[in-house]
Amino acid sequence: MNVLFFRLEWKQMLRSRWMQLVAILFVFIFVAISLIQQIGLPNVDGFTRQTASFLNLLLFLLPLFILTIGSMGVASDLESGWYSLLKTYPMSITQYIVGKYLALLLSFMLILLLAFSVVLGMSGLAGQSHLPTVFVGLSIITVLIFSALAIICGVVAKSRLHALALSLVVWAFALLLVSYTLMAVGTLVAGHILQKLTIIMIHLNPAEWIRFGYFIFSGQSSVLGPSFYEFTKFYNSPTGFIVYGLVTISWVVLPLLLAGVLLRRKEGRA
Amino acid sequence: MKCLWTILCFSNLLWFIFAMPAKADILTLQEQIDATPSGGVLVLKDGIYTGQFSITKPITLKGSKHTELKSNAKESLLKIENTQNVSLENILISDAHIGIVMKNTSNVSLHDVKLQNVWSGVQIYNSKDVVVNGLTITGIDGHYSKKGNGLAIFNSHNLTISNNNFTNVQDGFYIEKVQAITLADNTVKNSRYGIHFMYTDNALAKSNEFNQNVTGIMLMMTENTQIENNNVKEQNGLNGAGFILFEAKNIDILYNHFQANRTALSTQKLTTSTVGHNTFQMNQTAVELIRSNKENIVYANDFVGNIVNIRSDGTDSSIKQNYYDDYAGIDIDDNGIGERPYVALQSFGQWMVRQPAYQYFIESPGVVLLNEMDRQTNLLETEQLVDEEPMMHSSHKATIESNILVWEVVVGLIVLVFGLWLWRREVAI
Repeated sequence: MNVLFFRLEWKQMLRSRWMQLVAILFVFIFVAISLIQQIGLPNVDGFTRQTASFLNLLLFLLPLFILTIGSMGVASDLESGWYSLLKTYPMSITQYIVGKYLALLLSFMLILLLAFSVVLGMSGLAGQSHLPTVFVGLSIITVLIFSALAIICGVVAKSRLHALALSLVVWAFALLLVSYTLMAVGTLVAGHILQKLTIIMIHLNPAEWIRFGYFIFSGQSSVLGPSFYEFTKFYNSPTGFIVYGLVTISWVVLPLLLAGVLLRRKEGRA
Repeated sequence: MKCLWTILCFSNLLWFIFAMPAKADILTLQEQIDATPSGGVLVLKDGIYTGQFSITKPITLKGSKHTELKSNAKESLLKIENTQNVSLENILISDAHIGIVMKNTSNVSLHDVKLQNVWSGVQIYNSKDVVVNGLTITGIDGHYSKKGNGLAIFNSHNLTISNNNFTNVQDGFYIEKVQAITLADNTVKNSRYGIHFMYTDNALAKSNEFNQNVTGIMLMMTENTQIENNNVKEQNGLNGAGFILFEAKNIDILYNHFQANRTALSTQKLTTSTVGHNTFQMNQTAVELIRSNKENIVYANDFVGNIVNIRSDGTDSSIKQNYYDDYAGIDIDDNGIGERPYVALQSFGQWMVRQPAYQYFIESPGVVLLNEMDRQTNLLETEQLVDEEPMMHSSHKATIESNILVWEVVVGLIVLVFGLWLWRREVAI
């Protein structure tokens, strides 16, 4: 890894007004949802509307900002010629991608740190709840996976605007369109086919993979119903945890590897 | 030498008389029962009584502080048959297949009887005027299918069952073809069904507590029953439900508190019944109506923090004057009733009833948006799951303890300051 490049990227990321606004937005929304529902409802273990709201907030906002900011950062480098300038220094493509990835990753980790610290402090003041540790873990997984996807979106895009559009498409697909398609298909096919398609979709859609992770790690897999009993039983076993880890690592490593390959091809064509 | 021998013999005799542990089972309990006259009281001394016993005449059997009955037989430990006016008090029964079986009895009472490590606790057949109070049953470990019921009652009438506490049994109370039964202040935990009513008439279940069972109350083919003031929490397993009412008639579900259940109340083929003044709080689905009809009334309930308030398979019941925390209407005339109807109909809720595999998507980001769209498009709905008079205020007063947690505040503050310092340091040129 090129430490100098990473430090430069990390500083630029934190100096960005957009990033600072995202941090304020996250802190505000996390605290608002957490406190409003904690004050209104008793602290109950399980999948409640409060936990669902928190999970959806995590799934809606975090990927959106990571994808847009991350992909536009890479696309901007390519579009503005900054990447070509960087290539005049002794830095490989892998170092560039890893540097961009880590800068994005750590910037969002810092935002999460701020948001969760405020949630923890305010919860303590309200005397209600403890910090939801499963959400902290899932937030980290979300940042890990979507930062990698953001890099590949940026590499694929031809311009910043293209990167923005591509990020939004990926976000919409992951969060909404795949689910809607599957729900629509479910009205036409038998239940067991819908169940199998859903299981495939869980593995192929990073947003669903993270959501599924919530149910597994919070011990709430029964929320998914009897149709998914065998499936959740497997993922609740030690082997299942290992498989979950491997798939998660794949979701990080494969997009980064692919980004490297695509960037090399782009360079070759240029 | 002779003197020493005499002392040795004498000391052995003393040891036999005083030092040897008292073993009550050398006395036959059955003989003591047989020797007790009708209407008499048999007080059992402390000790372990092993075997199988039978009572066929009116007596009172009272245990002492450490009276224990045990049996290794694959049948019942104590039978009470063809008799009346029998009372059992203060007895511990352990390691039995079935603790007590009553057949053809009347005016029988059980008080403060404790059963532990039993396959099934008490079975009552063809009896009347039975009182069971203070019964504690702890079943065996393992799957529900490997266990018997806590208290099973068949073909009996006029029973009062109160202040009992059951854990780890199949069904806490299995009630079949029973008339006039009251179940009050009982607690059932970690079992399959808390109370299982079958073909029962004129029952009352009140002030019971059901916690972490598969289902709190399973009521099937039963009529004229009141279920009120029960506390139903955390029936949240795969098929978890607070109450399931199936093919029932004239059932009143009143003033119950449902919290954190997978489905709080599921009704199938329910007729002429009332669901009123209950609090449904933080359940995955509060009320599920399947093959329901308009003669059922769902009124004056509080729906707070549930993911799905009411869902149905397309059939409907009369829904009115409930409080819904997600109601967005206003009350112009200040009469406590919203001006706009509340429509509980959700496309996703109905899909989930019809196709269980849809449950995966519950409250997923896509479904949340879908529900929002439903809320807008359903404003014109007048047929299904519509409450014309939604209440503006909840009658349930939530009491939430609130004490400042200092360590959380301090840790949160330290981490926040560290995060801001790090950000500022990195931004500085």
